[in-house]
Amino acid sequence: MSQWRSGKLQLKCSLGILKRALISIVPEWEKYIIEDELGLLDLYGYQGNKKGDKYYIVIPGKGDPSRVAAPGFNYSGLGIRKQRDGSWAIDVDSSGLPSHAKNIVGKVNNFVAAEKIKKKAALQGNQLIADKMEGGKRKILMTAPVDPKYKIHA
Amino acid sequence: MHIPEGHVLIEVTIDENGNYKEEIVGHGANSSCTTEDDDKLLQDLFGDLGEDDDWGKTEEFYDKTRVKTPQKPHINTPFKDTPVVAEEEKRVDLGFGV
Repeated sequence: MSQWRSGKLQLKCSLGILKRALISIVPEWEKYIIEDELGLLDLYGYQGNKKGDKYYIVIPGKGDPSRVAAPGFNYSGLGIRKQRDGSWAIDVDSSGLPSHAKNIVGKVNNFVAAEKIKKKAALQGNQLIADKMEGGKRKILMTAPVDPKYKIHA
Repeated sequence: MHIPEGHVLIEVTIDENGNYKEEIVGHGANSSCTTEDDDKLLQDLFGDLGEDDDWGKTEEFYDKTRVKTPQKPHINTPFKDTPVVAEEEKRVDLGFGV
């Protein structure tokens, strides 16, 4: 039986970054991910019934009548749709996902935030010192120049 | 850890749900700020992180989504911008002798 979960992504980004985030969680998904820049893809439940929304990215599950199911999706698949406020939301059947991917919304959120922070730092010329996991949290260390307007002048 | 002069050391912590928190954890020489200015500095650096819908688009999608328009031939100005190079004079021996 499907275990549908939905979650909103906190940061806005392109489809390319979302795709990269999914591949970073389960690399085998790369050849199963379907994307549509117009957001017209369907997502199917385990009995082949369509979910009501339209999606920009879909990873098919076994309920999809026309596609091969990706590993980790026993019944239904995963879909990423756009919400009215422009943010992304993920609908996913988490019943067959490997344990490290159960919290997939959090994982995608984490990836997008980390990539965005690192890219922003690079664009500003900040130097990345470390990117490491500590107690389940990701820590990124960088040095940044201080604008003179913020310095305390003796 | 050595922090260069005029720089601060920033630590960004991202939890398992993607919530992130940035914090200045060290100051190099000649980079002291008030706590309030530390906050403003972080706001300058990371304040607009959630705003850009298309972030990442130029990396992977730009080429795919770009509409490629064919270049029009320059019919009216065929030699504009083309440097004029004198063709080397060719001497042909016609057999009359000199």
